[in-house]
Amino acid sequence: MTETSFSSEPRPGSRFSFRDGLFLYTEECMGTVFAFKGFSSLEPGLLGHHLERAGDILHEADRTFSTYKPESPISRLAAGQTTLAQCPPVVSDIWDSCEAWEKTTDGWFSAFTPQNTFDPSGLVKTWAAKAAFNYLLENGVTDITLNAGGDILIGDETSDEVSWRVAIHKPVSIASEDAGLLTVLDLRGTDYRAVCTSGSAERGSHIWDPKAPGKEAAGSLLQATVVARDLVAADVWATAVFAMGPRAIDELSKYNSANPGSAVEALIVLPDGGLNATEGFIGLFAKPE
Amino acid sequence: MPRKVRNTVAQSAIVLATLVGGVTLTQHFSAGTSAFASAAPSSGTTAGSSTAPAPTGKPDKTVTSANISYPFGTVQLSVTRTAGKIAKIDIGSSTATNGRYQAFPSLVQAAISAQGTNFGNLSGATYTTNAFKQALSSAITKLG
Repeated sequence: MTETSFSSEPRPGSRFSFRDGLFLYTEECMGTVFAFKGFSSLEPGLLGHHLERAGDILHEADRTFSTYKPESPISRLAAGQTTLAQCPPVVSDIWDSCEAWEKTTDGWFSAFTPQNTFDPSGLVKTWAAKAAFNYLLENGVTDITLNAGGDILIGDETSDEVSWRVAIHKPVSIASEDAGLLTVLDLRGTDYRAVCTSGSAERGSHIWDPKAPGKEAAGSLLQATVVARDLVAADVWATAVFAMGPRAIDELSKYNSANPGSAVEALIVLPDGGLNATEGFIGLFAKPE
Repeated sequence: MPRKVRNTVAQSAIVLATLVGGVTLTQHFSAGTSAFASAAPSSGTTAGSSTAPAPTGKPDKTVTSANISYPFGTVQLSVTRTAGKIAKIDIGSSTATNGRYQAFPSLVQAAISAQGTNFGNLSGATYTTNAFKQALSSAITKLG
């Protein structure tokens, strides 16, 4: 007889809960927590195996790209101890991807630090999350959502109505006393699948302004949330919008007019708490029940 | 699998979904750097009528905010709560008359209206593992 309800810790830093097909799997990685949530008719043991493998994909990316691990290829590259050609091929792929995004965002997303080293951290988390998510889709776990440390991805076949609604946190830490919601979006029936938020509420000023003379920390917004179809696109644009500041809304409107097939929508919180958003964002707010 | 079972579990067992699930109208307008900080009921005038208690124990009520300053003007909101839920939000007055920002009050209205909606995931700036665990423990408390 199949066990239908349990909660276990398959390995340190991961947690797997299962009840009547509904599952939640969390994996600590990259200094944050990834939460895979959904519904599956797979046998729990097999489902758990797939989820752990998805977690492995995250850890593999972390081992390659962590700037906190001195032995990672990316750290050795920054320290001048190795060359791009000597790194695993995936490093070159990410390098190319970062360059492409820098061009797409007109320089507002940049993986080159104020010290002029290569730091793709702004893209690697969601790139790895997307790879882990796709691995699950390919293995039949299709009714699923992923929360990658605050960046959200919804599957095309996600069936639960609530899962299509994504809350946006106020520009304060989720662990602070005044934690709470800014608003809630409903992506059901839209082309959008990803919601990413950038800000300094959790980790302080960590986004630099690639266009400032000394690439100083960007600080003209409290928070930027971007909705797009692709998770990496939403993540990169959230960083770019945060660096751009209030003018980002006009810039994105121009971008959307020129790229109707890959529209991105943004909601920004201004320094005094005021809001502004792209025109298409208005239709994404959840309707009161 | 019956949908009913799924929804019940989804609403009770899932990590971040529960983080702010129990937040009341008042807390939505709590102080801080919230976009709606100055809409705190205490700083406004309580207008409307209080009738029979709602099932949640919170009386029906209409609260009018003070003028909320925005970069392009001010806006005043009236929020009506019925049966424990936000039933209506009216824009009382607004000075955001610059044509380009005409949509501004409706943006705020749509954002606030959506606050009471149930949700499956929470987006925010990348939280640390520690912040996640602190938030999780408070969510578990609320579940009890």
